[in-house]
Amino acid sequence: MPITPEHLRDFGKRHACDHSDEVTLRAASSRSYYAAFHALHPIVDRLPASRRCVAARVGRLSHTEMVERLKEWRTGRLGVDLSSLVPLKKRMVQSLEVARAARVQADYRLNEHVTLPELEEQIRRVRCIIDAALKISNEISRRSKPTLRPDEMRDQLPQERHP
Amino acid sequence: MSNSATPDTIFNNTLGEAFEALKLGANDLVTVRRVQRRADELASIDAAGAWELRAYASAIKNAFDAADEMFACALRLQPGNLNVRVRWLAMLCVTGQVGKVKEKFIAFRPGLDGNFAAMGAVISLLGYVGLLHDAFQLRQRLAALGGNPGGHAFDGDFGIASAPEMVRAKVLATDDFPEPLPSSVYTFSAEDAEQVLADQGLSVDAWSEPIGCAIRFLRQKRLKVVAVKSSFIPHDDRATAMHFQLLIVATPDICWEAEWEFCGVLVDRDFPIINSGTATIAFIPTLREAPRANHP
Repeated sequence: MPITPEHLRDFGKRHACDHSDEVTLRAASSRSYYAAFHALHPIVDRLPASRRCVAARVGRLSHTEMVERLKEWRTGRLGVDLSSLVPLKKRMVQSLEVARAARVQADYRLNEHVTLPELEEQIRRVRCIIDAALKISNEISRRSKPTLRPDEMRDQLPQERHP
Repeated sequence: MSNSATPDTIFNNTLGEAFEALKLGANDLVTVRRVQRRADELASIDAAGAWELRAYASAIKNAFDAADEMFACALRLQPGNLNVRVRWLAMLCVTGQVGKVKEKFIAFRPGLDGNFAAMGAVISLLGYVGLLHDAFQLRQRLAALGGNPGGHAFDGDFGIASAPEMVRAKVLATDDFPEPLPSSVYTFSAEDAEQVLADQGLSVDAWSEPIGCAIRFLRQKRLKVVAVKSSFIPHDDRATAMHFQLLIVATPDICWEAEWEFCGVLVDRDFPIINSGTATIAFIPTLREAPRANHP
């Protein structure tokens, strides 16, 4: 792999300093979010498509689809060990939504300032999301099997679908 | 307080001190006693001012119903005083009592027309607690009456770049220049606001519920909110959402710990507007970490 999510996160950290101009702060905030997105990608990619997101219908893992899959993923059904991670997963999703909003603001809202404190907060937010993702991933691996195949994971999920 | 201090000076100084305590959420008995003593000093020359100061003393003790009764007493003595109404709203805002802010705003709204400074201040206060629909409507009314709504227009969105006169324009407080009243900065359009909420089947005040929850949460943590920024966040695959940034007097580490903990509170509270992704709340620090340089 040419680069990892950590490289994106490090880009943000490297540019969180007083002499960075606003273009750099925006770029760093945006890259930091993508560090979280790519860190979560391997986990979310193995989850079934969500019920709500349009992108899911064409098999695309969009930003919204990522959040929706995580929301619909009933971690507790995977086992007792993982049920303790449900609150962590919910917090992580909350935080991912905030990080995404900060990223959209940095990329699209040019009439609003993006400041160094906002970037610093974004970096902390992303670090926590990545830590949570790692914890969940490790817990899945630590259970009975090293990895779950998509069909196994799907088996653990509720089968009923909303119209 | 010096013997030469005028009643206005006593009142204004105490007002600033009371708001600082209210924003910080410190149930500080020393401040309560000082505010009450000043109220007693004022009682013989400015009964309305004395009742208002007593209201702040009660609010600092988190006795909010008593504070409302005392504000009502102050208002009965000065029924035409819009500043009392604005400060009552401000007290409710900084303590996160969003439901009461809405209720009082409805009651005070008819008397605001024509007083541009008061209207501007109320617009900012409504923005502070996420009552953006009301803020926008009042802002349109202010413009229709010939007042300066402030800010700039961006392709149909309206931005209030600085808070109106009665609420200081400066976003960040400093030790030298503390802000007596809260301020807010926001950009939005009425059409977007109404459409977003209608799409979600939510009321126009839905944004304010988690904001009030955040303000109360931060007061419990003794973390002072100095401003609230609101932004519309466009999405290409779902409805536009609102992103609120609460600027807090805290270092990044403290601020982040609070935001992460608050994510858990939001999960527990189960707000539909948060669950649907139509609103996100971030805490932004206003202080830097202590320098690690080799200073003595």
